[in-house]
Amino acid sequence: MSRKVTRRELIGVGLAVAAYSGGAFALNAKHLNVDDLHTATYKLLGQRPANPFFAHKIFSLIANNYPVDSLNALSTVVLKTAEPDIAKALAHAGLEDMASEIANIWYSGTVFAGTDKEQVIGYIDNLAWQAVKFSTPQSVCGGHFGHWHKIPTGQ
Amino acid sequence: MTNVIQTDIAIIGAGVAGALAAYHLSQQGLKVALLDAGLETSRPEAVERYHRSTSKGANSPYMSNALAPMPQSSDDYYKNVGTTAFNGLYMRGVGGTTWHWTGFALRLRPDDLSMQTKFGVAEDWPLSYDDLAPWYERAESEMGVAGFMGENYGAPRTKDYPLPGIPSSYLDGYVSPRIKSMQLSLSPFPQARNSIAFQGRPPCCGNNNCVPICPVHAKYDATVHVEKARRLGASIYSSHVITRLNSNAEGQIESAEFLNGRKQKGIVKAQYFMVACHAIENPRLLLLSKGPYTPKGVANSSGLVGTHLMSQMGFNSRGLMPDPIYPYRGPQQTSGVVEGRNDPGTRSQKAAIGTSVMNDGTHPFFGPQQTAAKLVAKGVYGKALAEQVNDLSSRQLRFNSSIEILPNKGNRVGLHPTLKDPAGLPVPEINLAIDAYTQRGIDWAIERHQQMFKTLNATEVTHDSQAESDTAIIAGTARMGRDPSRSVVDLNLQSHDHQNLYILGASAHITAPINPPTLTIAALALKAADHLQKSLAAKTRGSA
Repeated sequence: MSRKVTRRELIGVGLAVAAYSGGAFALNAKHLNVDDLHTATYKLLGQRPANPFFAHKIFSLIANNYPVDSLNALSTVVLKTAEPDIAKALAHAGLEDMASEIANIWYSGTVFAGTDKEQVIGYIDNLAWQAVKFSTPQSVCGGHFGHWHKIPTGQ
Repeated sequence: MTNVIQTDIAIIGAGVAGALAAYHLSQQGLKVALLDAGLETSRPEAVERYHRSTSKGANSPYMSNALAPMPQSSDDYYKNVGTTAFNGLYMRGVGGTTWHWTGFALRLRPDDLSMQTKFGVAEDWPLSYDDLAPWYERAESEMGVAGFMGENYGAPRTKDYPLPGIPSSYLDGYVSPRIKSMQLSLSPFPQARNSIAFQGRPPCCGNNNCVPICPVHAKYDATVHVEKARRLGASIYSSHVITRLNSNAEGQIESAEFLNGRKQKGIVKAQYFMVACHAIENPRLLLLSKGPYTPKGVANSSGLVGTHLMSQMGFNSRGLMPDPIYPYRGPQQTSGVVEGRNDPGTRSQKAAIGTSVMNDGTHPFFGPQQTAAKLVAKGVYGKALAEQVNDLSSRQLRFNSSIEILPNKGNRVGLHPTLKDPAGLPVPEINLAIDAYTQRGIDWAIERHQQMFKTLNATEVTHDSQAESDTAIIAGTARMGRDPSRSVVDLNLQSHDHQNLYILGASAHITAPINPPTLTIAALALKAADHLQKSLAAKTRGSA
């Protein structure tokens, strides 16, 4: 069983966000099952990010800031578990804190939240706004003038 | 070598008052210098800055001049010393606070101008509604106010709005029939927001709201008239912090001293000066200008500069509707509750309240993110996570009520005795305390929110822990009047003490009713500019 990764450890790694633009998975690539991580992440989140650049940045950050064993363990647990039971399985594996941190990073587009290193990686691309099917992220045009008066198209 | 700016008219502050005055005076062929302590803003860069901001606060898209900080939150710039925390937000920069205003362009009502006569509270303005009406019309035309003729929140009008009205949101339409049982009705707000292409700017496309920034410039802001004035020949000086005004023995303002962005000192020489820095920075500058002929500060023979500070208290409640209402679309607010803003039966007893139906869910910037975080904390993952974020977000509703604060002499802006800003100037010291009249209004707003959510069968209803003074509605501090011993400026916003000084902005306002002050600021700025221009013309004719 993988050990629990704490927020302090995540922050302690302290890699500059600027490192995203370098080799995406440079530090952990040798041992990380990248395909599984992608597949498991999308299953965990319930959706795939529409913007591949945003996805690249977040995957790079996660790969470079979490222990590879923990990430591989997370992938294994998520992939072998039915969706309604994922939370329970993660808790059983001691991975619930890491999983919730990762989910919150994707859904907020923000890393190191609540610390002095907090940084917004993708506000308009975050998965919370992407999940909202009837609107656009704040500051993004929502359609023709007056569209807000009616039920959104497709709803 | 000293930097000298020589001009006919020096206008200090490039917000809505300064920009409109600069435009009007430039139209008359006068040489105008429009100075602002802050920077000029690139809209695309501001949008990007907003995206990157972690706080998403009202001023987060905008850069400060290092020498002229602006408040980002309570007490990070000015200092509170009163019993009620003043959290008022305003911009120091070209375009001013209109960069992040709601766009509401309501007139004050006749009763708002005569509260002592009508309700026995506060004081009457020295101007009547009829005095203001032509200037309101002019301001509405300049700003491109969109509205529906019959919907005026109690401010009568004889001409239609310049632009067609802004449609109410779908959720306004959901709420409206359901609160009729409470004898409450909704009315759409007139807004300085394009409903059609107007003056080279596009119609509003929603943008899931434009507070704190409209990315497409469909919402009016003062940069419109800064640019118009510039095209007419006005000189714009950003990053010019005016540090004091100098009066001569005859009571004429001879010059203004400044510190520019390179920390170089300089002076502005002009025939006329207009100070247009909003209700905190106006008194600050006047109080900074103590001198041999102005021992209490410029324009302050009455001792009233800085007094009678007003704001509004704000209170929010949030709930989950049983049906989708589709928030997070359109302008931040498109309708408000009519009742409570000027009720004859209550206004003598308790503060007016203005309840708005907010189109921005439970939180304007982070609503869906916060919803996702709560779901993740409960262990919701997979498709259920995405689906529930969508479902819950579609049913979130917030009510916001603004509550009036009356003018009290003890509520004031002063100069902090020890704390200084990076330009070496004392920061504003704010002393605000709400009275029982306002507290009764707050209690009324809370009760209304509770009842509205109950009527709407909402669940998960939460309320702010307390009301806060966190709006950009800031007024008083250089009040208007006929009597120089009881006021700072006259009915044309001309200083009683200095014939060549005008003090523009909400600082002149006698009351700060629930209808927001921006259109009144604009109307009075145009009136003042017109008066100045006619005075100058008369003087020129006299000397010729």
